[in-house]
Amino acid sequence: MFRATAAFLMGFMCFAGAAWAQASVPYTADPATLEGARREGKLVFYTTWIVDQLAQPMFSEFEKRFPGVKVEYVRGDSNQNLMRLLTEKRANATQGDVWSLSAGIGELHKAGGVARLDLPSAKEIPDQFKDQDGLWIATYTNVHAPAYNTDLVAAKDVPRTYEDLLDPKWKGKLVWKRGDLTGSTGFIANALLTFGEEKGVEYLKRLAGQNISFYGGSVRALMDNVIAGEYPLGLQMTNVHAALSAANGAPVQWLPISPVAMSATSIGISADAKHPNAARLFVDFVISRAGQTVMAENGYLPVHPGVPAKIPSLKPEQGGFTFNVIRPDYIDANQAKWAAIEKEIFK
Amino acid sequence: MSSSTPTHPALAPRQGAGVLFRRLAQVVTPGKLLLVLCAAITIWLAFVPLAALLYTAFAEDTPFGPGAFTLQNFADVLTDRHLPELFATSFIFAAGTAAVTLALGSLVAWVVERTDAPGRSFFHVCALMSFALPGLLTTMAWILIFSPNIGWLNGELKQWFGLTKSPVNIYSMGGMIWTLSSHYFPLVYLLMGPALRVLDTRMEEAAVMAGANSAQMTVRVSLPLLRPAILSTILLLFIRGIESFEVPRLLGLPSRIFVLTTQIQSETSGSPPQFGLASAHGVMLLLICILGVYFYRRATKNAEAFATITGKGYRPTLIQLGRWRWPVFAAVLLMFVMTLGLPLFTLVWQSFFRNVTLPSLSALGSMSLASYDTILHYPIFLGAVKNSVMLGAMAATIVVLFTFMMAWVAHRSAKSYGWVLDALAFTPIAIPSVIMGASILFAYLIIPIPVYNTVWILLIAYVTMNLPYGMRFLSSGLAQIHKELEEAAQMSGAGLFRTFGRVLLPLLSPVLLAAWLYIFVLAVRELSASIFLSGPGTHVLGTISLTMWEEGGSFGAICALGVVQIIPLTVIVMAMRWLEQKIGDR
Repeated sequence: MFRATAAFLMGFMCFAGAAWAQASVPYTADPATLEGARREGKLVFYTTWIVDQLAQPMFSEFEKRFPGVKVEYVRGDSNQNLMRLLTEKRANATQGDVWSLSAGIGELHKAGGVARLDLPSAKEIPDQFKDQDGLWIATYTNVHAPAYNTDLVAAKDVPRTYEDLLDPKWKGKLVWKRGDLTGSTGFIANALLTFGEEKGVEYLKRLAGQNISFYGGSVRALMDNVIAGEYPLGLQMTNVHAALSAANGAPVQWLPISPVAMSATSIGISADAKHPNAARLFVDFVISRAGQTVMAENGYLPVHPGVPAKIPSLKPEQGGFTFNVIRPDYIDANQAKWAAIEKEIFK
Repeated sequence: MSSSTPTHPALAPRQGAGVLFRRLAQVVTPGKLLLVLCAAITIWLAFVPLAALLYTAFAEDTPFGPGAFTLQNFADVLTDRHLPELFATSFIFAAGTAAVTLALGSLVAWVVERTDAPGRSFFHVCALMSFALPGLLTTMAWILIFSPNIGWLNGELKQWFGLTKSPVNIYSMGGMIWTLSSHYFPLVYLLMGPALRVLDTRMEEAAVMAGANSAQMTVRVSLPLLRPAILSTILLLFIRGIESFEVPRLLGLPSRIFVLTTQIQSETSGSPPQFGLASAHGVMLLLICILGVYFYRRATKNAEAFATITGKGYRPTLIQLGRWRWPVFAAVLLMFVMTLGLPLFTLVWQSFFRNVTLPSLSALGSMSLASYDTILHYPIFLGAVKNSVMLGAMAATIVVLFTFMMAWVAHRSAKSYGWVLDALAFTPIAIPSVIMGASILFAYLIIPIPVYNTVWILLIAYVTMNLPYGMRFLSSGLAQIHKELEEAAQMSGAGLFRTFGRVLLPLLSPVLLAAWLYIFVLAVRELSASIFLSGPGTHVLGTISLTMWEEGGSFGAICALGVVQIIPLTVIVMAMRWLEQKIGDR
């Protein structure tokens, strides 16, 4: 009882602390950058960020702090943004100043489309969340783990290990998003990292015997289907989604089966950005303590070590689970292999 | 090119212009000029995506786009052990959809156009509404109705009949065919309706006079007369089925039923994307479509035999159903309840709840308007509605007028080369919209026409993508009009454009309106190409619907988005019906 109360109080304090922090987290822009940004007046952001959950709150906070610098955006998934950027680069007509991508940064860099970042706020971000050459920097992390419907799965049946997922009782009851890092591809990557190449493939072959259903929409929409009871358990789901829905009373729980896969959504600036100062100002703000606080307030997992998550147990340190980081450069180097394994084993 | 350019040598200017001009005017008729112009525009519109498709299909996939020449993509596609299965499922799905859709749609078309059954205007609006519902949302609605786990009607059926297992599984080939058919049958109505309306009943009457009963009359007279329309419809349905994407994505994938489009989609959206393979599959799709056009043209070769609008006066009369009026009404009503009522009710019901909620009296208390609040306060929503409606109207107008000229050239002034135009106009249908979007993007980035990141690039895409549909509508419409009417106009001294304006356009107005509506709705709903082409400030409904769906978190908000989209479309459909009747009365 006491422990529960203490945990609640701790949670509440973090919560209140974050809320209090947002109102007053100071951010001082580099004067030259700021002046340049004001002159440029705007920046164009090709983003993967969910519009009402993250993009809008972040943009309005930014525009409030820097009147006269507007954020214009186009939202697409990582592949779409990459295709736009590569096409613009090839035609020598770059329009996107800032981008967020989860894969393909290496390709864009080889095409000469990535500017090297040298941002004051980057110093505060741990090395594992940024590129050593300054091509990208993470803005928030995603924890990919299974999630299940609590009405459909009894407490005693809840899987605790990867081995548990092979139990015959799960046959025909599992689902994942197909061909995506937030889905089958990401699960395969994590299995290979966890078990090693050979044993990993062996595990995946046994898992394929469970006849996993494919889902064609986003991982968030899949979460809604798990909540609705269409599928009892989704593999490679995003833990923030489960936690936010559960907080709204949805019958869903995520499973920290260690090691979980952890990926980062990265941000960077185009080499030929038309609004370089505004772009710099924006990116620096996003990764600063002030920007990361906006991130946390809206339920995302900040990369800034000084900013706690809104629900602390979603991060490995507080949640007590281990993880494999799947970095953008690692994805670029291995994704063809993962896709081949997926095609071979799962059709 | 002006309307005063003479068509007939006798009408050539007798003085004021030199001999040379007279000669030139004799050789360069407006018809030929039109042919060249249409061909040039079509070639350009079709060339951009087609070139991109072929280029990527025959090139290695590299991180920087297409690389060196290779046949590997085709080798990979053709040696894939899943290929026969892929073709078989695609074919069954498309053919099944065409059959069910044709049956449902012709019934509605016949009742609305040829009988005196009550409620015909109501059915007309219903038919267009089922088509106006975004495909993503109808499919979702059918899942909420007939999913074996969460479908509410499945639950009810289990209770009524004391079953232990759900009687219907929407995640099956049958479920896919039904879902797409319930969505597409208005297309049959749109294509067959105008044809039925202008079908000269005197031919049918003659058959009856000659002693035929109504079955014989239908088989020997009405159906053969309608052959271009029916074949056109089947062709279009089959191709729509082959290239439809949302239904196989949401209903096929969970049961691991793959068709060509889901294959292409998983190739273009995978990590890493395989555009070469996707394009090679796209080329397969294109070949199937070209084969379809070829058979269609063969089957309707002697087009004049189908011309039922001739110089002799006609006035189609309605079939008096007598005591069958109400039973027919009830049958059609039941069909609409099944195809439109169920999903629409489900969407509207669900739009009042955040999480999936089965329809029941006890749930009435917890209804809320929160979803609508979310939608209307969603940033950029109103701007997107404005952009979409404006683009839809412009694209529809341009395509209708342009394909009218093309169909005329293909069927009248240059019949021997006409199939080339027909085939050209058809190519956009087979090109995966992702490749369409990306190729248009690239083309207009390197060409010094400043349309990138403006609404105009979207307009170019919508016009290109809808050419095939406009062409189908106008070709089959034109086939019904005997050319003696134009000849009469020209003999009386009317120039080509006067003939168009005073004779052909009025006679074709039902077809033009149907085509306009169809294209308008498709353009408003367009999604896959818009993703690449809508820039900051040019958001459209399709892209924000997708974004909202992906954002998820609330079934209610997505359903509300569907309901909100239907309202303006219904108003427009009703306005068009009113206009149509006004023209009809004239």
